Amino acid sequence: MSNNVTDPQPILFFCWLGMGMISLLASIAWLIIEPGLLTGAFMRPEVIAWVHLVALGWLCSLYFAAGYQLIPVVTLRPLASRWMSRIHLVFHGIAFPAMVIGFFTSRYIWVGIGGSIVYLGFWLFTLNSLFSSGLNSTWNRTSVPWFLGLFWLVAGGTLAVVATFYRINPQTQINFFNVLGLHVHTMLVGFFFTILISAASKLVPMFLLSPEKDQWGTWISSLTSTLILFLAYTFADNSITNKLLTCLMLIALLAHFGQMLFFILKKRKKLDPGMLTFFLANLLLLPAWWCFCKYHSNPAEQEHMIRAGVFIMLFLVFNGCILGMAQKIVPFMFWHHIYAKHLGKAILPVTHELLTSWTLWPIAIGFTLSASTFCIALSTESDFLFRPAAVILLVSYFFVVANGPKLIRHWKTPDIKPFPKPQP
Amino acid sequence: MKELRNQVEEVLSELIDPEAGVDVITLGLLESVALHGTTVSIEMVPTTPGCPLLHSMSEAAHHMLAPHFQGMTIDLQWRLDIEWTPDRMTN
Repeated sequence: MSNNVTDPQPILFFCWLGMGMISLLASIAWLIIEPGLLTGAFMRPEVIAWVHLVALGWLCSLYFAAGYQLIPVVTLRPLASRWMSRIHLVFHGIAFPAMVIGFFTSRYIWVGIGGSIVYLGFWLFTLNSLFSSGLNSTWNRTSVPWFLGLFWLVAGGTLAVVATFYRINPQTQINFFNVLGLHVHTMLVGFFFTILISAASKLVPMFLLSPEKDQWGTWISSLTSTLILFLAYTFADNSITNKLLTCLMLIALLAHFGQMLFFILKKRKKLDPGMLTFFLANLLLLPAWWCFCKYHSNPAEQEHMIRAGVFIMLFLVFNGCILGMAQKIVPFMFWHHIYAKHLGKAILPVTHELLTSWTLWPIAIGFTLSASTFCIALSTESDFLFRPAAVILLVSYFFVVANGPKLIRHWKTPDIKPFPKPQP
Repeated sequence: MKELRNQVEEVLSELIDPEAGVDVITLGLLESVALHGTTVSIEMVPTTPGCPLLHSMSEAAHHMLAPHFQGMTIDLQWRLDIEWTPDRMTN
C-alpha cells in the first residue's frame, strides 16, 4: 500500500496564498479607511465590491490554495491535471480584481467578463477535484460535504453570471432580486457553510484526537443545508417557506454545534488557543443566523440585517476559523517540509514547538475582542466602533505573522538532535 | 509471537507523532505483528485515513526497525479500513 502520493506545487500554493493575503489586507484596510461601509444600504457598489474582495480574494484563494495541496493527500492520488490548476490560478488572478473594480466603478461589463472567467475557474477546480478523486472515492462525512460544497459553488457562480447579464441587459426576463438572493444564500449556506462542515469533520478530530466516526451531526448539518437550498430554489417567492428555511437552518447549525461538542467531550488533547478561536468563530454562526431571520421576517424594514448576517458569516466566522486553524496547519506544513525526512532518525521538535508561544493567546483574545466589537458596532450601527474592531483584527493577524521568524529559523537551521547512544 | 510484538513495540515507542506529541505505541497505532518466514509483517492504523505523515512514518519505522531485525524483511502496511479511536490510546 503506497502512501507516497504527495503532489506539491509550492509556486501555485504561494501564488494563491499571496493573492489571498493581499486581498485580506486590502479588505481590512478598506474597513479602517471607510468604516461607514458597513452601515447604510447594502446594495451600494463599494459594499458589493468589498464583499467580493473578501469572498473571492481572501476566502476562495485560501480555499483553492489548500484544496490543490490537500486533494492528493486526502485522495492518495496525484492531482488529475496540473495544467488545469495553473490555468485556474491565472483565470482567478486576472479576472477577480477586474470583477471587484467593475463592482466598485459600476462597470457591469467588467463584472460580466471577469465574473465569467472566475466562473470558468470554478469549473476547472470542480472537475479537477472530481477527476482526482477518481469519481469512485469513499463517500464519507468529509467527502460528501466537500462535493456538495463544490456543487453549490458552481450553482452559485451560475446564478451570479445570470444576475450580472441581467444588469448588462435589463431586458432579460428574470426576477433579478430572486436570483441575487439565491446567489447569496447558495454561496453562504451551500458553499461556505458546507465547506466549513467538511473541514471541521476532518481537522477537528485530527487535532483534538477525538474519534472520527459517529459524525451524525456532520451528516445532519450537511444534508439539511442541502435540503434548505433545494427548497429555496423551488419556492423562491414563498414567504412561508422562508420561516421553514430559517428553522431548518437552525437544525443544521445545532447539529454542527452538537458535533463540535461531541469532539470536545471525547478529545484526548487539551484545547489550545487555536482550537478555542476556531470554536468561538463557529459559534458566531448563531448571530449570523439570527440576522438572516430578522431580515426574512421583514425584508423591507430589516435590510441592514442581511448586511450584518453576510458580514458576520463571511468575515468574522471565516477569519476566526482561519486564525484558529492557521496555528495548527502552518506549523504542521513547515514541520513536514523541514523534519519529515528525519523522522525516526533523530530527536525532532513537535509541531507546536515551531510556534512562538507568546503569540497564541493574543491571537485568540484579539479575535474575540474584534468580533465582539464588530457585533456591537453592527447592532448599534456605529461607524465609530468599526475602525477599532478592524484594527484589532489586523493586530491579531500581525501576531500570526510574528511566528514567522521562528519558523524561518527552523527552516534555516533545523533543530535535529541525535538519539542518545544506548547504555552498554 | 508476543516477544516479537514486545520487541517491535519497544523500538516504535521512540517514534513520536509530531502533531500529537506522543509515540505511536501510546497512540495505539500498532495493530498487529506477525512473522512469516523471514518477513516481519506489521500492520498499523493511522489516526486519520488522509494523514499526510503516513509515508514519513513508514520510512521512519523501517529505519528504526531494520537494525533490530537484521537479515529479515520488514513489511509495514497501513490499515486504512480500520478507524482509529481514542480508546486505542494506552494512557
